[in-house]
Amino acid sequence: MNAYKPIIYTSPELEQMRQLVAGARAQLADLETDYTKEKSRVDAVQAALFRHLREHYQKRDRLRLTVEYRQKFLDSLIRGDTEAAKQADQEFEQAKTQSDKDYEELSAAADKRRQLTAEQEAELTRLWKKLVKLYHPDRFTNEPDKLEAYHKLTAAINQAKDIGDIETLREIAEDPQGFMLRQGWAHLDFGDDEELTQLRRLHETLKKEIAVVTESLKQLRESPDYELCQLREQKPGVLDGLAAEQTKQLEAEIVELEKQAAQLASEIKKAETPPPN
Amino acid sequence: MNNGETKNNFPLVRRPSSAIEKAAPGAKRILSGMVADTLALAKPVFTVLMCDDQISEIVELLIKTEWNQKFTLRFIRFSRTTELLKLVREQSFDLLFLYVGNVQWDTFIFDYPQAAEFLAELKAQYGKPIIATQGLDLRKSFEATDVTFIQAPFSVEEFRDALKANFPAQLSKTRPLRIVVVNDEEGPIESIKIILLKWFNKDAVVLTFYDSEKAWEELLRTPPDLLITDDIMPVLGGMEIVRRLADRKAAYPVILTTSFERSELDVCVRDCVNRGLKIKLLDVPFDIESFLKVVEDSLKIQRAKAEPDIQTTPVVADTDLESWYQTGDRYYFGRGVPKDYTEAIKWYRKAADHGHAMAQNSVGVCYERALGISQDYKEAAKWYRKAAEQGDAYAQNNLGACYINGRGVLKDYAEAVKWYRLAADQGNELAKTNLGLLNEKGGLDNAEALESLRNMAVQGYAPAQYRLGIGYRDGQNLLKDLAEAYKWLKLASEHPLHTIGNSIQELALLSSTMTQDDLAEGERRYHEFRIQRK
Repeated sequence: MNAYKPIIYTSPELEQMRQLVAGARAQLADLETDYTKEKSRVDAVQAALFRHLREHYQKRDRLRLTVEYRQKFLDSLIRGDTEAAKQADQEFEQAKTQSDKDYEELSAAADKRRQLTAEQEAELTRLWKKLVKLYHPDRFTNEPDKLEAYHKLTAAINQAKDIGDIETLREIAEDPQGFMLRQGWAHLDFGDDEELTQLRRLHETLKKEIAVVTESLKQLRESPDYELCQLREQKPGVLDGLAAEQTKQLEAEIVELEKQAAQLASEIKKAETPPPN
Repeated sequence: MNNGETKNNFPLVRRPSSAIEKAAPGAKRILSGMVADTLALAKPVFTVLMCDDQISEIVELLIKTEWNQKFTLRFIRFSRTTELLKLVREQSFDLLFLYVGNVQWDTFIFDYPQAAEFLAELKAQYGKPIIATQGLDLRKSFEATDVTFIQAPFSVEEFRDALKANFPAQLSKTRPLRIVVVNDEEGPIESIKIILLKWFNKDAVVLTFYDSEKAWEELLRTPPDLLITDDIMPVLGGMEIVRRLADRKAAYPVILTTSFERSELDVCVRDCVNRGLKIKLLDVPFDIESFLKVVEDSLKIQRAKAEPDIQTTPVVADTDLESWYQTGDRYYFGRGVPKDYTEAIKWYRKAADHGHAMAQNSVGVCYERALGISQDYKEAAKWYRKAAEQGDAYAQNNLGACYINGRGVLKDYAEAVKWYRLAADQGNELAKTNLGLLNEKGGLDNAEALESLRNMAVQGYAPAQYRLGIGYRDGQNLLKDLAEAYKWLKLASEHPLHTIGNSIQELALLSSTMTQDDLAEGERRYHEFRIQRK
């Protein structure tokens, strides 16, 4: 608030610790920014791929199930095992429902995904610099209502980060107190620590957190999804080409599966009609 | 509040947690299937024909981690030679791996030489790499053929070599030598380590052990490329180690250092040699030349072309050093001579090699900014460090910056703070500003810091300009002034060497929100500043 903060006494050790904390925070903010940015890109690629391929994949998966089921059903018929046939029927229904549910779920998740714009990505740096200042897991351990509020706040940040909801991140970063007030949570103090032991502890937890984010970033960068994402960044439009090629292959597979399914259906029909004496 | 360990129950960040990852296992499988299918289409396929499942993991590991190119691996299995013959006819493949004894030989063969002939014919016909293996030593049978043979069971390293023989271009990375040194005394262990590291010029990893039993455990875990052990040590002596190695038929060479002549030792060494151990005795004390000769003989390697300066460098007077450095400076800044970076670095380097701290810093600068020499951040960091450790404040600040930017070193903010601090304590203004810049409001939070920040900004230091711009934009401890913010951000965004933070995006964002009047005023002040600076 005030431009000239009088410094009465600063021990060199305290000053050093402050700088270490500032350094750790800057690093954490850097890492968080990278992670959010890259994760958003990866998720966007996944979602785009899903939108491209969903129709054909779902059709193919359904046909695979049908073929599998008809084969089982036919086997049971030939053996004369009506129990097993009934069971195959049930299993088929279950698998179908589950598969449809899976695709619905993915579709809902993919619809929510929107890649961050260049401006939003640029803004992340600034937001995370503010957000990491809120990071203070052990400051409220002795005050249950404040602790609860802190947990709710971190949960909100996490959720916003997960779905790339930059508006909420901005709302929290710009005015954490206001945000918490609007949610009706307890008031938390995020001022800077003045005590050496507190600073040390904060530095320790920051370091731990840095290790966690570094590891997550590493895992992200090793994932196949990231590889795909990179491929797209090198060659824009590559995804469309690949998806088109895949669709072609899937179409061929679907034709083949339809043939199999029809063949099995006619065999089942034959098995069901009692042979003429 | 402060009792022991921090409970990190609710860290700010919990992962992985994206909505898609939280989905049901079925959904996850669908998605990863899509990604894998798409990637498989995007990358070339590397097809391996093989009869043995176990090896696929090694192939996968090597091809994924060390191959220059990314592949989608495809394994096609066969169990009989008729299948194999059909496969090679119909299928394009990149490698055939065959466990001679595990295949059903439908083809009419009687013995191993005939099997080798069969494979050699395949190789001649299709021209694709073939690696064969068997529990017996069949090297003789395969000697005359182009087929690579390795005896089972083999290590990853041996298999790697076999692959490398067939794919020299793709598997070109060389592994650094691993040398284990065991000695219970600090003096010898340290000097041996230093000599080896200097000689191999970082192409070697030297592991030292004071405790011979610990060393033995390590030897069992991972066989090194060379072992150098002392004779007399507590509990487990060198003689016992070499005996054990002979028992285990260790394939790597051993150098046994000894200060006493003992008939017992000679007998032991002779016995070990007879049992196939590659062992050499070296009397202590030894000079560097004879030591390196023994190492060289043991490793059968050629000495690196560039002779590192193991001999002590001749003594140079301090006045010479200073004049070399000054000559470098004259060329660098073009004082009295035409500006010539190539000439400058030559003189800097000369002084730097003899330990002149400021010259070392200058060499670092040349490497970092590619002045008279090609850019090399690692070299830059190396020279900064040399000078920084001697207490040169400029170098300390530069090294700090290397750590912030991850140039030539791994990004490490704690190290950066450490070096900035050291420089700032010596009164280095730039380091003070840099320290402040680590902080969100840093550099703006008191009058003195602000003054220093403003000074640096006026002098053209882009990070300071950026911070000042942000400060004016947000009114952080400064009166909000968008025109002023515009001026500083524009200056910062133009700096060629430091593309600072997101100055370009921030500038774009800022100007999109400013009024025409503010924009014109900002533009005016920017030009005014540019003119003044000229």
